Amino acid sequence: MRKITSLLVFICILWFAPENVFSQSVYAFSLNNLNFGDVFIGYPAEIKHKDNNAAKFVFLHTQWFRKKDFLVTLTLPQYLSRGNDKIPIKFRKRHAAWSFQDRPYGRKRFNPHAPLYIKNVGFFRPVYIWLGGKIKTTAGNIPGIHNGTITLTVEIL
Amino acid sequence: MKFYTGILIFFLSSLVICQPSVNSSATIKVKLIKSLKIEKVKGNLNFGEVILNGAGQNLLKNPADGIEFLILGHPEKEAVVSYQPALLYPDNQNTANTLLFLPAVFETGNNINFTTPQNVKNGTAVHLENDDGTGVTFIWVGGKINVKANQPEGDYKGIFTISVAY
Repeated sequence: MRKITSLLVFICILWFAPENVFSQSVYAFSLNNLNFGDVFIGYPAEIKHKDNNAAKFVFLHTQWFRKKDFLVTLTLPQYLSRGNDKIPIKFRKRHAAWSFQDRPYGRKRFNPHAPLYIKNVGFFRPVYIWLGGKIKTTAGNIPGIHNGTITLTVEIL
Repeated sequence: MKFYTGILIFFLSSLVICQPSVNSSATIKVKLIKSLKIEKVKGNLNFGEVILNGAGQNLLKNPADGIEFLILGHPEKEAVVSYQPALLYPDNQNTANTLLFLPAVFETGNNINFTTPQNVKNGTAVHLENDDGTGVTFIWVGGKINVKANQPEGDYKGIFTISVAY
């Protein structure tokens, strides 16, 4: 009887413990980089969110039997760099989308410069984020590989 | 008592592994490449004056004495060279009396002189050698024209086109 009581107490703690104290495990992964490929100097290039070369992230939470709200923010570069050489990069609404399913249709577009709120996400339910962009090279750019970094931050609200 | 201690440890461990937010990064990458350009360095495909002697003749133009082109592009990339034989038309544009120019195309890499030339067949790729950050290859064009025994006299002109693509 005492063990049963203890077990019930344990389950109650698991169930009712404050969420900011109990383990709030959220996991985010990068599944694809944003790759513009080969671009002629002096020409623009654009990757939309449905393009296979768009960046792709997935995140999920592992809080059993809970639905959680998320705040998603993207830290975006203004330039792609190679040493001192820079290429401006723009991110517009047409470049960013999210969905619960990993498929090209039914995605919801969002402004990548603004926080994205996603509500009522079930446990272990993946949320996919896609991001493209647009670059405009100039005749003064040097040949070679230019890089930048996108950082996705996912917070449980 | 041990059971409650276990719960307490579990509870405290939750504080340690508490993970309210998480980051993930992706790389953005672009490879800028120089666009292709082909420009004439020197020479021409002028076969000069030919004396019609009533017999067929083969007019030859050594590539070294023909046109020298320079291909400019991204260093260490391949560029496909394309060309076709060209028809030469007489002044009166009589299409029954055309001459056929059969080109002979060679490349000498980044050597501006016609030394150790390599034959370039239509549709094959040449390597753009790195010359101070620019890919270069010199192309030489010569060829031959077969003049028939009964070829009418006159000036014959045509356009020979050579193109390059990545």
